[in-house]
Order: sequence, then structure tokens, then C-alpha cells
Amino acid sequence: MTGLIAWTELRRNLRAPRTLVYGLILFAVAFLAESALAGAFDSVTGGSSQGKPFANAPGAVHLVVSLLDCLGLTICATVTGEALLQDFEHRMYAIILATPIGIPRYLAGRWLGAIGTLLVLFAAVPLGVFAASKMPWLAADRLGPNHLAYYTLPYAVATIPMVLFSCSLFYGIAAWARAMTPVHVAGVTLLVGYLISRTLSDGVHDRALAELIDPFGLKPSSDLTEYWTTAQRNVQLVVPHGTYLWNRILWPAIGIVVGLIGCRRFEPAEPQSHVRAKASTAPTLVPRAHPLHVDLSLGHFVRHAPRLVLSSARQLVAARQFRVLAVMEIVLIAVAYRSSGQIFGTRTWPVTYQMLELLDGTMSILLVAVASIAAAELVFRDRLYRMQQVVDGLPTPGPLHFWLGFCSIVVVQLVVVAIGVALSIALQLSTGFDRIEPGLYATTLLCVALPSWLVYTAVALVAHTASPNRSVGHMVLLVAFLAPAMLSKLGVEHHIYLLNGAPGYTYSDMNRFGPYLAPIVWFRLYWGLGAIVSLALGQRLWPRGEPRRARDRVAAHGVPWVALGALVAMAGTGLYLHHQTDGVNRFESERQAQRDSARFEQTYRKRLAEPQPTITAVDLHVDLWPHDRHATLAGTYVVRNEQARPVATVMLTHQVAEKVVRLDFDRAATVTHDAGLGVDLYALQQPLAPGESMTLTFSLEYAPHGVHNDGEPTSLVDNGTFLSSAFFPHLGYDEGDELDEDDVRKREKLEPRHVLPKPDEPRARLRNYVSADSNFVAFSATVSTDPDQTALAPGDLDRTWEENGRRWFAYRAPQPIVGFWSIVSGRYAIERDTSGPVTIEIDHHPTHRYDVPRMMDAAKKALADFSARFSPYPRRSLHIVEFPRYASFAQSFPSLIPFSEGIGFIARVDPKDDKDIDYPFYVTAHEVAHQWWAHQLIGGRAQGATLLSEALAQYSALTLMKKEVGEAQMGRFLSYELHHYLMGRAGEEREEHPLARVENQLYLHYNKASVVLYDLADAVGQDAIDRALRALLARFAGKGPPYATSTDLLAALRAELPASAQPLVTDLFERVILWDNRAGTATVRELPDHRWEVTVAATLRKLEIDPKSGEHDVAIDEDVPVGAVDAHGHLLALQRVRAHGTALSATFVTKEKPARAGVDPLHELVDENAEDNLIEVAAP
Amino acid sequence: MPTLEIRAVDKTYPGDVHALRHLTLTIQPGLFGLLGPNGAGKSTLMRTLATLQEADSGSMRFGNIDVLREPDRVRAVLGYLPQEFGVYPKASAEELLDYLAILKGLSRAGERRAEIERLLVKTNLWDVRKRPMGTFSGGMRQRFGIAQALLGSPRLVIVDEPTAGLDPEERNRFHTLLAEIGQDVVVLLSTHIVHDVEELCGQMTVIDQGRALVTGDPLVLTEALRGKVHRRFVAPAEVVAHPGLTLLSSRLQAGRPVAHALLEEPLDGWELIDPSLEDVYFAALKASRVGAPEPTR
Repeated sequence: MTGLIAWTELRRNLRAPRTLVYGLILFAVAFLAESALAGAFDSVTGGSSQGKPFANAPGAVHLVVSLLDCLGLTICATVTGEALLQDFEHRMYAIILATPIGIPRYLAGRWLGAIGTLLVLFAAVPLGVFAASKMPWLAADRLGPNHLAYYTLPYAVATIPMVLFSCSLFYGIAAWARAMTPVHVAGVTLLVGYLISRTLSDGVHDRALAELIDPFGLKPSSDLTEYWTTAQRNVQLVVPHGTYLWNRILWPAIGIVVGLIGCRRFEPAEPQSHVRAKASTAPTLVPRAHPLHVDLSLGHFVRHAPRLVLSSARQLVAARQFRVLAVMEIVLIAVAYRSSGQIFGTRTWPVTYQMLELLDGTMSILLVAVASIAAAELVFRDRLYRMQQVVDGLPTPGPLHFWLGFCSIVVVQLVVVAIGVALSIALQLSTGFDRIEPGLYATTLLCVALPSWLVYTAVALVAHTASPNRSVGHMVLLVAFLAPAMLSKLGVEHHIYLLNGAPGYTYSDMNRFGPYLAPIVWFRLYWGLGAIVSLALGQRLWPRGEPRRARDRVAAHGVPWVALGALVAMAGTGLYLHHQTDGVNRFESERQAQRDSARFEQTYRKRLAEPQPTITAVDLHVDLWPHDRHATLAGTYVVRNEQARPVATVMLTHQVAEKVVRLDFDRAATVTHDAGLGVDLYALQQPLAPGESMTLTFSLEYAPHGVHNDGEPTSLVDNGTFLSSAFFPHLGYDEGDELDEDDVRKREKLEPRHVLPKPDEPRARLRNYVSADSNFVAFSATVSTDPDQTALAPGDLDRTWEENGRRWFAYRAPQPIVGFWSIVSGRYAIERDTSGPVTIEIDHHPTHRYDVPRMMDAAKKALADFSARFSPYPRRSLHIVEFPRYASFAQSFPSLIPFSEGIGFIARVDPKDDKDIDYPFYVTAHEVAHQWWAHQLIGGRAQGATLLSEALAQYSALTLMKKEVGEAQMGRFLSYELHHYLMGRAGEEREEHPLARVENQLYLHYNKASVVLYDLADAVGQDAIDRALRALLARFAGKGPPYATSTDLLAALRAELPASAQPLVTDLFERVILWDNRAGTATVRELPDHRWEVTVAATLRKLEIDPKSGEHDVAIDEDVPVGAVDAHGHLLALQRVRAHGTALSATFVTKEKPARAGVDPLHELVDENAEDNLIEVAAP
Repeated sequence: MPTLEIRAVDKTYPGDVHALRHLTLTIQPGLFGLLGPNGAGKSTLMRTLATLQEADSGSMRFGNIDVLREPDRVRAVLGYLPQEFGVYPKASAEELLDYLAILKGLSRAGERRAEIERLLVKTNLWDVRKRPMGTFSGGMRQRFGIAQALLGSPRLVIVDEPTAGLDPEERNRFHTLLAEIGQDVVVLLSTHIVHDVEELCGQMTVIDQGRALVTGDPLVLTEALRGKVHRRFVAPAEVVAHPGLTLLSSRLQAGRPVAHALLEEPLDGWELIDPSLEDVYFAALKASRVGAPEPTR
């Protein structure tokens, strides 16, 4: 009988036209998603598929299926809810339940029917992916072979559990509540909550928990594959095991339990309430003295609007679904807060802008959901509660209810915002942070965020007003919300065509809204007018009286003057914005930028064969008017022909946005301009002979203004200007600017990419990897700025003075520097330390004093330590200067370290918590180390160049940190580095080189280098390495060409190391080695002297990754670290023992009883799976 | 006092359903009963008067208001209790009345409060005024309906089948309320329950298939049948056709079938009785449906 009911339900559903529509939607979305993945739209968008796995690789199919399953939740909610509630909505239930089938069988039948329907429906997703992968227009190299299992496995692992879970959950809710609204709310809530929490879960440290609590299994499946390389991804099936398997069992079980509970609480009869009212004395009736005063003027309604709106909003807030949303909001904000702003697991102070970003991220989707749910409630409640005829017969002006509805949704949204702000301030106070900025909360939320939320609110109200039912309205809004993202994937990049589009903005404590204010205002205005157009049209759709077709409803009102007016204003604003972004400024789509790059290469690469002069001296005269965002970049370069042939034509480049006032040599030349690319060719009347010098005098005006479509330029701003050397003229053709991705180059009809020289080629030593047109240059700079600002440039400050109401600063480098500089200016509080031989200055934003002592401490210690270990610091000052968080890095220039406010000035390092990594200290030490590695020793432009700068800076910083905080904390740091290395290599687009041939890959020269150099220092001792580095400095510091390459570093190391350590150098720098070590057993026994003897057995595996032959096992015969930690993870013992072959056993002694012991406790080896290195100790 | 004039109003729904056919009525102040079977066109007429739908042709005037062309003016004087209506379950009666009072233009807060209090007491909802209306019984909800309809002293009150589903006590209370307001405004009461009209209305009309059949004072109409209405305890199938006999109705009384008929002259076995309004109603329907199959053989 149950089966028959289920079958009837299934057949009824499969015949219903809407099921076909749902199926087609799923199929189409899957088809489009897969096509996009296969690069179908790359030629429009300029996207690249360089090094990505096949679009139909098993993992890719798995991801598309899991993701669309999760987006299909609204369909699950509708189908499931209707399965049970159709009888109630049609008031058929009494008849059905009176038949002898009985409630349990009836419920079970409908439940199974819904599950069956959904299983059939969601098969459309893998089918859509499969169909897309067969389309002839896709690039063949984006698709691999298809196997049935690539499609059936995701269906079995992702879809079936998802259907069981969500269908059962919704069924339980439907049975419990016997109304559609809670089911819809549950669907929207689950989807919204999930999408938001997904973006936040990365910060959850308990990985297994984070994987388990993901109801759709996206987190565990992505974790399972996170270290897979492209080659692995192309063939390996995502077979669930471990947490992922448990996850897939757990969630259907939870769903079914909720379903069963809901069914148990199912009551077929209408709920009856028998509340007795308390009797109270009724007032005595007095006949009315005067006739009632009735006022139906517009003024009356306007005056009473607040009262009506509040009353209506109160109804919305009182509804159960609102409470669900409010609880969800609180949970999400709390979860988001826990994981926000962490770098290396260390928290930041909860400054207001950070809390606002968190609120914006959490609330904006939530507020759209609130708008959609509330709008549906307002539009349909009169019909649902049958109040419609009463309301329609009231003497109110036509669209009054529409506008009251709009306002009451806004009130509800403001309640949501208020809850968020209250919670956010409470969280700030709870950490002891007291710089709450109520004004910033108000400005950001009410003036910046709210106008953009209101656009969706307007769309939601209009969509529901025009829709025949809630589902359609919700669907319309979902499409409106997701469409811009999809359209931009299809190459529509201009924000005036993307609903509610606007360039993103970054708030900075230093520079506030800065240059983003104008685009914020203009785009909000533009879309606000759009919202008015849609509201003005939508109010005509508001139903009154007998149902009429939408067309007739609109026509009944005559000419829509308001809508027309707003439309004209919107068009005007749009034209103005278009003029700003494409006329005043230049909007370059990614594709256009690629075309420009290609043209640059095609036109000018041939000049590489022509000799070009080299800059030997730089004297800058920079005048900044930061408040007016205007700068004059002037100065002179002395350029010298250092080649064997005379220079006939000089190629000069400058930024396209700059206006050239003066750019000429001290000899006559005929100039050809290419304004589109910012290139000028100077044909010298008298060629520059070898060894001869001449002077280039230049003056460029830079004044960014207007509105940009793709984000504002942030180099020249009111407070925190940071102009790099890219803003100054350059000589010759720089290969570094060429397009890199193979498929993009092919599309632009460029020859295959020009690979970097190998480190042992002679041409590797000709120029350094940072500046193409200079070697070491004499440098001086005079900078003037607004009177309340401090300006900085590389070198030591010669003098500073005030003149004409402006401040002037003259800097000079005592020795030549690498041709790479920057100019910084801002309103700073200055912390100065003159206790040592070098004056250290930290110029910071006045309120950002939290980490200044740490940075000062780090700078002092680093200068002292590196001066002692490597060579004396060559200048008398060092400036660390804060710049706005438009970029998140710190960068080293001679004596000058611009340091982003985003990565160190608000860190909240708890000195008592040894899990907190003191990253302000680490970053400072790294940047100070660059004063040696890059600014004295700089690599030639070749593979392995950054080994000499970034990797050695990591080494210097890590060894200093180890001295400061001890080995225990280093293990934690190294585990982050190892993780990022493994993630980085999984995303490698070409091939992973050994460190000695690194091509500027961050995951190699930062992350792998940390692990490898720490290992080397631990194995051979820091002194030997330092000796090698000193030798290298003595040979190359401040000189070039010929420049050093990684070959020189390895030779210097090998010279200092015994024969036994030579294979280690080979492994670490010249091969790609991966370990997979695992603790087998660990036993412990107390010695008579109350120390503990630990015996460890472990399995080792050492793999070499060879780009040609793939991976293969390598014999092990070397020292390997073993050790033990206590219950808090503190290191108790660490020593190296000899390992022969894959089995390792070792015995060592600790002072305290260890909790866990095993191999490589600090993650010094590059271990594929570092989590199983240690094991709980047991008694023997 | 304004009267309501309905002249030759037609309304046809899609599918050729004639809801109103040239309906013409004049309604004086006081309670006016609109009596008719289901589907007679009562609700169409009332919804049209309440400006919720439009007529195809004809005219309706209330005093100097053209109902069909000036819906806003109608709404300003209208109190409307629709046939099927509900309330927001979370709202209390007091809160919702305040909301509706503002929408009806009661702009002075003191007056509004007094008016709401007056209506809550009158409709006997005072004790439950703060309770969410989702917990109201059918009768309480209906009383709330009349309270909202009377807000703002309307001059045209339209109540559509208000007593359906009410128990006798609730119904009596409801009648008292209606009778009170029916002194000097036009109250149009539609019902298919003859007793409602009998008890309340000084005027009435019987409407069927979109046409007004008889209109007048119920007492006068009833009196007009005096001496004609007879009854006989007999099953309808056993009523023998006879010239001058019109079978009006047949129902059960204490389990025995009883038939009412109009007789031109006394006939054997038929007993002369006092005419009732129900007889008027059936007589009107019968007269309009001449030619329709008779329950006689």
C-alpha cells in the first residue's frame, strides 16, 4: 500500500510540467557550469585554463555535482513540501485521511514518492555535465576520457545522501508545521547559512569537525583532494573514506531522524486553541459627541506611515521564520568572528572595519533572504489569511500598501542589521578592545551597504508582486542575485550592466573610504534610481480587487511618470558613469588587457636585440599633493651605454595614465609616440657610443580622478601614498611584462613563452631579476608633500625642511642600490629608537600602536643579529612605514620597509598563548633580512633567482625566531608552511621545479624554502650555512653583472659542508622530494632517575617527483628527526637518528612524561601527510 | 439620507456565466436583505458595490457617488464584511483595528482609540482584544469582521453571508449588532438564510440567476400570500399535479415529509396556514423558474 502511494506520487510528479521545468533548469545549469569549466567562454573573458585539470576529470565532475546539488535545495524544499502539503492546501486531507490506509502508511508513501522524484530530477545534473563534455566546440585539450564511474560515483556519494538528507528534513518540517512557509524558510535558511558558513569554515581549526558538520560534503571532499596535483586530479576518483565517508552516512541519518520526529508530531486536524481570556471591566459606552473626523488626504497617510509600517513590520518580526533567521544570523556572526582575520592562526584586534566586513559578508545574503521571505509574506499574506477583500475595500490611495510593504521590509532588515551591530560591538568589547567607532558603523551600514541591499529589497517586492506564487518569486530573486556573477563569467564586466553592480571598495583606517567614495556614491545612485524605476512599475502590479493579468494591471494606471522620470535619471547617471569609466578613465576588460600586452610584445620585443643604455644614477624630485591626489614625478637619470655597440634608438616606457610634461635626453632625438601603450622611441641624432653617458630629464604628472569600473587606483591617496618605481620612466623592453599562460599566448597568436634562463647559463648573470634597465645605481630623492605628512624614500634622510607651506625631505643612499625604489607619504605617528648604531623608525597610523613594540623589537634584534652573522648593515637608518591595506604585503627597499596595515599593525598576539605565532615579528625580520638578501646579494634573471632573496630572507627570519621563541613554536609555523607548500604544488600550472630552479613560485621560495632551510640548519648547524652566506656576500654584494645564481649558493654551501651532508643539499635544492612518514608505535617507561625512556617505531617513505618519469621511491639512508611532545604539544625531545630503509626505530630519554611521540615532530621534512607523524604513547 | 440606486447592471464571467442580468434595485437607508440561493449573483453584486470588481454595464449610484466610476469615494463611506475573510493570526484585535482605522482615515489618535474601544465593547471582544486572533473562534472572528466594517462610521455597509457557520447564540448577538447600526445607514445583508432577513430587514429582495425577483417589505410580501399557502403531510412524489396548485417546497417536519403549496382554491387534504417569508422566497423562485422541471408527476 505504501509502495502504491509512493508510486502514485512519483508518477504524478513525473507527469507534472513543473517537474520537467526543474529538471531542465538543473540540466541547463550543469551544462553551463561544465562548459565554463571547459573554457567555453575563455575567449570572451580572457580566462585561462593553464595547468588546470580536465573539465571532466573525476574531481571536477564531483565538485560540479556536489555544488549544484546544494544549489538545488530550493527545488528539494518545494517538491518535498508539496508532496505532503498539497492535500492540505487543497483541503483534501480530511477525505484522504478518512480512507482506511492510516496515517503512517500515508506519510511513508508520500515521503518515498518525494525521494524518488528528487532522485530522478537530480540525475539531470550528471547528465548535463556529461552532455557538455561531449560538445564539439570545446577545446579538446580541456577534456579527458569519460568513464561512467566519473558520473555515477558523485551521484552515489553526493546526490543520494543529499536527497535523503534534505528531503527527509523538509518532510519532517512539513509534517510538523503543516505549512509550506516553514519548509521554504528552512530551504532558504539552509542554503544561505551553508553558503556563508562555507566561506568561513576555512578558519575552523578542528578539521575533522569542520569536515563532519558540512551537510553537503563539499568541505571533506575538497580536503580529501586538496594536495592532489593536476595529474592526480585527472584520473583519481574521489572515493569517500575516513571523515568524508562518515559525513555521507551521518547526514542522511540526521535527516531521517528529523523526518521521523516530524511525522510523529503530525496531526491531521487543524490546530485548535482554547485559551480563556481574562475578563476585565469593559469601559462604559458613551455615545459619540461629534461625528468622527475622517481624513483621507495623502498627508494623513504620510503622517501615519511610521505607525502603519511599524505595525506591519511587527507582524513580520513576530513570525516564526524571522526568529529562525535571527538565530542563524547570530550563530553565523559568532562562527565568522571566531575564524576572522587570522594569519598563521593568530588573531587580530577586532577593529571596526574588520567587524563591518564580517557583518557585510554574513548579512548581505541573509538580508536578501529576509527581503524575499518578507516580500512573499506581505504579498501573499492577505490572500493566505483571506484578508484581501477587507484590505482592498479600504479607502486608501492605490499603491499605499505596496509602499508600506517596502518600508516594513526595510524596517525588518534594519532590525537584522541592529542585531548584527549589537553582537559585533559586544564581541569587540569582549576582547578588551575599546576603540568602537559608532560613526563608522553608521556610515558603512546605512550609507554604503543599505542602499545596495535596498536594490534587492525592491527587486524582491516587485518579483513577488508580479509572481503567481512564492516559489516563482523566490526563484526570480535567486536568479537576479546570481545572474551578475554568471554574466561576468560570460564576459560582461561593466558594472552598469550587472544588477546592483559596483566596483568593490576597501576601507582603511588610514585612508578611510579614500578614492572609493566617488564610485560608491555614483553606483549607489545609479542602482538606487533603478530600484525606483522597478518600484514605480511594481506598485502598479499590486493586486486590488478581482485578479487581473499583470499586463492589465499595469495598463490600468496610465502613463508611469515616476518610473519614466527615474528611468531618464538612471540613463543619465549611466551615461555619466560610462563617460567616467570609459572616457575620462580607461576601462580595460581582462581580454582587452591581454590584447594590449600581446601588441606590446609583438611590436617591441624585437628591440631586445638592439642595445639599450643602462641607468647608473637616479635623482628624483617628487612633489606630492596627496590631499588633492596630484603628483609631479620629476628627476634625472644618468644612462650609460654599457654594451659593445652604439645605441641608436632608446625605448622609453611610462604609465599610460601619466601625462608627460617633459621626457628628453641631453642630445637631440626624433621621437615616435605610442600613447596607447605608453611607449616612446627616441632615435638619437648622435648615437650613444659604448662607455658614453647622457642624462634623461623627465617630469610626469599623475592625478588619478573620476570613477573606474574595475577599482580605483590606490597608489596616490590622501593618507598613505605608496608610489613604486613603476610610476617612473623605464628604458627598454622588459620581458617580465609578457603574458605567461600558454593558452592565452596561443589565443593572442604569440610565440610560445620565453622561458627563464637556467642558473648555469651565462646569460643568467647579465641582469638582475628585479630591474631590467639598471644594475646598482646611485640614488637620491627630494620629496615634498602636504604640510601634515611625512614623506619617505629609500636611503638615509639627509635633511628635512619646510618651505612655501609644504614639507620637504631629501634622501640619499650612501652606496649604490638596486634600481627599485618607492615613495611613501602619510600622516604618521613616529616611534623612534636611537639606542643602537642604526636609527630605527616606525611611522604608523596614530591608532595602530598595538604591534609597534613587537616590530621595533624585531627590527632591532634582526639588525643586530644579521649584522653580526652576515655583514654590517650599510646605512645609518631603517624606516618601517605603514601603508593602507589596499595591498597585504610588506616590501623591502634600502632602509625603507613599507608595511601594509592589514598584516601586522593590528595583530593580537597573546604572549601567554604559545600557539599564537608572532607574525609581526616574523614579517619584520623577513623584511629586514632583505636588506641583505636582494638589496646586497641579488640573483640574476634566471631560474632560482628568488632562492637568493626570498628563501634566504625566510632562513634569516626563521633562525632569528627560533632563537626568540624556541623550537616548539617553530613546529607550528612549519606546519603552516608545509600546508601552503602542498596546496601550492597541487595548484601548480606547469611543473614543480626543485628549489634551485624556482621560477618565482611563492609556494616554493617562501613555504618550501622555510621547511627545507630549517631542516638543513637543524641537520648541519646554522654556523656552516652562515659561513657560506658570508662568502657569497663577499663575492657578490653590491656588484653585478655578472650576478649570482642559485648555482653559486649551492657551491658555497657545499664548500662548507662535510661529504656526508652533500646528498642532503642535493635532496633539498636539486630534487623534488616528498616524504610520507608515519609513527607506528611509541612506548614509554620510567627510568630510576624519574626520567622517561621513549621507544618509537615508524615507517618512512621517501619519494622523488620527476617531471619525466613521474614519482618513484628513493632509498633512505640519512638522519631523520624523532621526538616527543607533552599533552599541550610542547616539545620534550628532538634528535636526529640514522634511518636505513623504511623501518625506523629509535630510543631516547625525556625529562617529563610525553603524551605523543614519533617521527619529525616539528615538520622539518616535506611530508605529504604530516598528521600521522606522532602517536599516543603507551606503556610497554 | 442617500439611497443606493442600482440600474440595469450586467456582469458576465468568462465561460458565459451571467452573474448579473440587468439587475435593478433601489435601496433605502436601513437594513436591506438580499436573499437568494447559492450562485444567484449576491456576492458578485456585493463585490461590485465594494469596488472590488467592475460591472460590464449599467450604473450604480450611492447618493451622489457614481459607484462604478468613483471607487475612491465609495471606499471612503464603505464598511465591508466579505463572505470569506480571515485575519493575520499573530495580530491582536486591538492592533489590527488600529491599523485599519488609520487606513480608514481616522487621523486623530484620541478619537481613534475611543472608536476602537466602542467597537470592541459593542462586539463583545473587549476581554480578548489583546489576544492573537489566530486563537479566535469562528464567532469571535465574525464579530471582529463586523467591528472592522463599522470602523469610521460608514454610510454604506455591506455584509456578505455573515451568519454562515455561527451558532444560534452568536447569531442572535450578531443580529442585535446589525439592527443597531441599521438605523440611518444603508446596510446590505446578503444571505441564503430566510430567518436572517425575517428578523432584521425592513426591505428585501429575492435574487436568482442575476435578477431581482421580488422586492419590498418582508411583512408586506408575506401578507400578500395570506390565504394561499397550504400544507400537507405528504412526500413530494405523492403530490398530484392539479391546476392552480404550485408546489413551493417540501421538507421534513419531525421526520414526516411536509409539502407547502400555493393554492388558488382550497383542495382536499391541504391545510391553510399562515404564510412565512420562506414561502415568499420559494414562491418567487418558483415563479421565475416556470418551465423548469417540477417535482410532480
